[in-house]
Amino acid sequence: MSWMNGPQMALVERFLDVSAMRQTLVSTNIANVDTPGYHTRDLDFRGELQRAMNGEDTSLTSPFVVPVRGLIARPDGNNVNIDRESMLLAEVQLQFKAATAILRAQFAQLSNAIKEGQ
Amino acid sequence: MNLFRVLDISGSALLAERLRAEVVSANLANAETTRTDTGGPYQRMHVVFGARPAARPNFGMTLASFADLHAEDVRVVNVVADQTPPVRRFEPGHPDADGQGYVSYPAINPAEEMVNLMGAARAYEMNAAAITSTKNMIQTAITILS
Amino acid sequence: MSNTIQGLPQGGWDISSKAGSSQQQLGSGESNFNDTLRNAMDQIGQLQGEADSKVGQLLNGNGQDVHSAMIAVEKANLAFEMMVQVRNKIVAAYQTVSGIPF
Repeated sequence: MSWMNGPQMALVERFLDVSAMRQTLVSTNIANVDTPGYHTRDLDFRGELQRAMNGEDTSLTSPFVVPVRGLIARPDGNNVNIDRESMLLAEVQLQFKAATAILRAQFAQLSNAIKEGQ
Repeated sequence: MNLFRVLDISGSALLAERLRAEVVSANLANAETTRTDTGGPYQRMHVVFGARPAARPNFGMTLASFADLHAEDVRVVNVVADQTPPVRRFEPGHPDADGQGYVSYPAINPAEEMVNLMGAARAYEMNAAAITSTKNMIQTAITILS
Repeated sequence: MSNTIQGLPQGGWDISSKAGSSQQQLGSGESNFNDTLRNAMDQIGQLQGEADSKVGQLLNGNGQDVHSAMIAVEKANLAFEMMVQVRNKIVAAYQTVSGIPF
């Protein structure tokens, strides 16, 4: 139903998917804060959003998980910065909430349009 | 990608950090123990953490999910005894003194153990915060239908 | 004086043939409606199936995202609602048309 799968909705859906993936990575980083040799992982959030906005078909390709630069490793090889992860935790959660609100508004708009013709 | 799996990851970290805190607490409590059941002073213990993939793709799954590939559980892989030799102090009147009047004490530095304990506590808090955050996200997703 | 009125065809109009041709037009119009409805129902069936499968995966703990499943369910609901409204409109239009007296 093409009237339902407009570019805005596809963008919001992709945003939600990528946010959920980022939450996975941040939680894994926090869980491994004391694991020797563990390196922080992240994904290129802005890049993924840009690709989604350009309309590339991203449904089949997972975001690339990349190591993070600029982090200092402790003697045991672990480079997880707990402050960075805490900040990201809050940020991802809020982004997810905002995107969900937008999605619900889109669905409400569609629903109103359908019922308007009564 | 499934956020419920992420809860498992954070939960595994809670367990691991709690175990670490228990081992460190035992070290602190026995910092002055000169005689154990096995003879000799208390041996300092420490935990070794290891990360491993949360799930291995099996033949039943055609597409490994994002979480399976990139989310790693953390486990206490090993609880090892410290190999540092005990500290010997000269106390001739002590019941556990050896022939030369030296008593062997565990090589435990209370300050170092306290730092470890605080680290474990802080990591525990962080993982609890991660669980709360993930739980909120799941609840937010459920509101899509309401 | 001619018995025929100028301009009128001999033997009156052939009403039946004209009615027959418009009957054909109405027939092709009906089949367009049918095709549209059938396509819509097929798509709805597909959306419904997708929603069911995602929710099933979610409940079975097979690694399905919560938000994906919710979105699939909402889309299926909206598509169904749309079809109901379209059907209502068609029925109302048909009743209006069939109420016209000849």
